Amino acid sequence: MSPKYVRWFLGELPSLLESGVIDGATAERLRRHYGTAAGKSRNWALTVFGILGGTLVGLGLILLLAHNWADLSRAARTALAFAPLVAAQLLALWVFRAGRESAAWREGLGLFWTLAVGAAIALVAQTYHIPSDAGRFALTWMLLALPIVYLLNATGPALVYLAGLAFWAGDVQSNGGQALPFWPLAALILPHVVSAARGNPYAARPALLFWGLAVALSVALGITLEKILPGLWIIVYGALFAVLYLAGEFWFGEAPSVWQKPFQTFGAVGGVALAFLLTYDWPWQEIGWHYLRHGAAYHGFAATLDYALAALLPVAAIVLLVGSVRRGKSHALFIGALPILAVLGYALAAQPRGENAAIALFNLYVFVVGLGLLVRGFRARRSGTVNLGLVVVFALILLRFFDEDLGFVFRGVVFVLLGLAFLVVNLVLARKKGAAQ
Amino acid sequence: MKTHLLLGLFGLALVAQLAVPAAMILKRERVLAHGQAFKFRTAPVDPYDAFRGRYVALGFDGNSVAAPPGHEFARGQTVHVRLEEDAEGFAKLAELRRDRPDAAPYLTTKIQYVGGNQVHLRLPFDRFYMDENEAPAAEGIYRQNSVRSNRNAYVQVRIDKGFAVLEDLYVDGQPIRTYLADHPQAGRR
Repeated sequence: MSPKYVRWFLGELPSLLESGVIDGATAERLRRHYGTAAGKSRNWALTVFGILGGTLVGLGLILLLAHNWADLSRAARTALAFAPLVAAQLLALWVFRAGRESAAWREGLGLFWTLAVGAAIALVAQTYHIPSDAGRFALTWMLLALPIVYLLNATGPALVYLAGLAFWAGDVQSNGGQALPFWPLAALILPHVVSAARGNPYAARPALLFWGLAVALSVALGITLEKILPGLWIIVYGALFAVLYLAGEFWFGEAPSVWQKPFQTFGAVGGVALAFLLTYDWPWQEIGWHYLRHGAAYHGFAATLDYALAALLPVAAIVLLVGSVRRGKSHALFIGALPILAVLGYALAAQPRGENAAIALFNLYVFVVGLGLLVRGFRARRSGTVNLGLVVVFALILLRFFDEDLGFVFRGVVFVLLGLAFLVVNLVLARKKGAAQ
Repeated sequence: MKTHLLLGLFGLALVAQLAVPAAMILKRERVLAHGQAFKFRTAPVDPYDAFRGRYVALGFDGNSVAAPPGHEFARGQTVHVRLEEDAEGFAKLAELRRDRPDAAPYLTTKIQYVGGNQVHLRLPFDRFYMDENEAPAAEGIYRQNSVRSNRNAYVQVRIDKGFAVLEDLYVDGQPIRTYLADHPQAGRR
C-alpha cells in the first residue's frame, strides 16, 4: 500500500474505534503493522540509494583507471589496481564485525566490491597490454566476485554474476568453444536464491532473482545448445517457455502483480514470440541443412545436453500441464500446449513439403491464443487481457497481410472468410442478447 | 562453528581476489625481466574499451604459417609455433606444432582460422593500451607507418616458455610515446 493510503488509513482508526467497528487491541495491531510497512518503504529508499551509490562510485573508479595515466610507473599502477579492492574488502570486514545487516549496506557495498574486483583485473590488463579476450576477463571477474554474494548476502552481485556468466558463455561459443560449464557455474547462485525466497517468495529480492534466472536460463540455453540436430531448438525452446510459465503458475500462482510473476510473464511472452516466429517458413526450412557447428567447433559430447533437454523439457511441461488442469487452471493450456505443437510441427516438417502444414498449425495456434485471451478478458471484464488478446490477433493479421510468401488470392479469401465469421458471431450474440432482454 | 567456517570462507575469498591479479602481474613481470625479446612487424588494421580504456589496435603481417602435413587444425585450437628471426631482425613464424618445442623459442596461442594449407594465428598482443589523450594521435601515426608504402612500425614482445607480454610499440625505431613527444603534430587530424 502506498504511504498516502497508509496515512489515510491510520487517520481513520480513531473514528473506527469510536464507532465500535474495531477494538483497542485491533487498532494497536493495525497501527503496528502499517507503521512498519511505512518504515519498510523508507528502508527500500535507503537500499536503492545505497545501490546507486555503490554502483556509481565503482563505475567511476573504472573510468578513472581506464584513462590510462601514462606517466605512472608499473609499481604505482599495481598499487592503484589494488587500492579500491582492498578498500572494499576492509569495508566488508567492518560491516561483518559491526553487524551492519541492512540491505542498503549489503547491496551497495556488494556492487562496489564487485566492480572493484573488475577494476583491478582491468588495470592489470591495461598495464600489461593483455589481449582482448573479453570472455576470459568476464569469467575471471565473475568467479572472483561470486563469494561476495554469500559473504554479504547480496542480490545485486548475484545478478551481475548471472549476466557476466551469460556474456562469457556467448563469447566462448562464438569463438568455437563450448560453454557447458555455464550450467554448474550458474547453479552456484542457487543457494542464494533459495535463501532469499524462503519466507516470502513475492518480496522484491526473490522476484528480482527470479527475473534474472528466467532471462539467464532462456539466453544461456540458446547459447549452450550444441545445435547438431538442426531445428531441435524449436522443441527445446517451446518446452522451456511452457515449463517456465507452468512452473510459475504451479508454485507462484498467487502472485498479486505481473512484476511478481517473473516465470509466468517471461514464459508467456517468450512462448507467444516463439509461436510468431514459427508462423514463418524459415525456421522450418532450415531444418535439415543448417549445421551451425563443425570442425573443431563441433563438440559431440555437448549435444547430449540438446537431446536430454529435447526429451525431458516436454515431459516436464506435460506433467505440469496435467497438474495445472487438474487444479482447474484450464487457461494454462494456451502456453502449455506449445511443446506438444512444437513436437508435432517438427514431425510435420520432416515430411516432404511438410513445412506448410507446420506453418498453418502455428498460425492457427497464435490465432487461438489471441482469441482465447479476448474471450477470457470479456468474461472476466478485464480490459488488460482484452487488449493483450487484441495485440496478438492484430499482430498476426498484419504479419500475414504483409507476408510475401503467401499468394494474394489465398490471403484475400482467408481474410474475407475470417472477417465474415466474426461478423456472423457478432450477429448471433446480438440476437441472443436482444432475446434475453 | 558456523562463524569459523564463514570467517574461513571470507578469508579465502579475500585472498583469492588479491592473489589472482597479483599472479597476473607477477607472471608478466617475470617474462618482461627474463623473456627473450622479439620484434613483430605490424600491418594496417576508433578502438575503445569501456573497462580498460583506449588502445591502438594492432594487426600483423606474418601471422600465418603452413600447416604441417598429416595434421588437422581448426579454429580456436591452442597451438605452439616455433619462432625465427628474419634477415632484418623481425620475428617470423617458422613451424606450427601441437606439442611444446623443447628448446627453441616458441609462442603458444590459438588459431584464428584455417584457410586451405595456411593456418592463421591470433597473436596474443593485439592491443596497445594508451593514455586517452595520446591514443588517437598514436593510432594515426601507427596507421601512417603501417601502410604498404611505409612500413615503419613494430611491437617488441618478450616471450618466455610460449607466454608473450607486449613491451612497447615502436615507430621509426622509437617507442611510440617518445615519438609522440618529438613529433607533437604527427598523427593529428
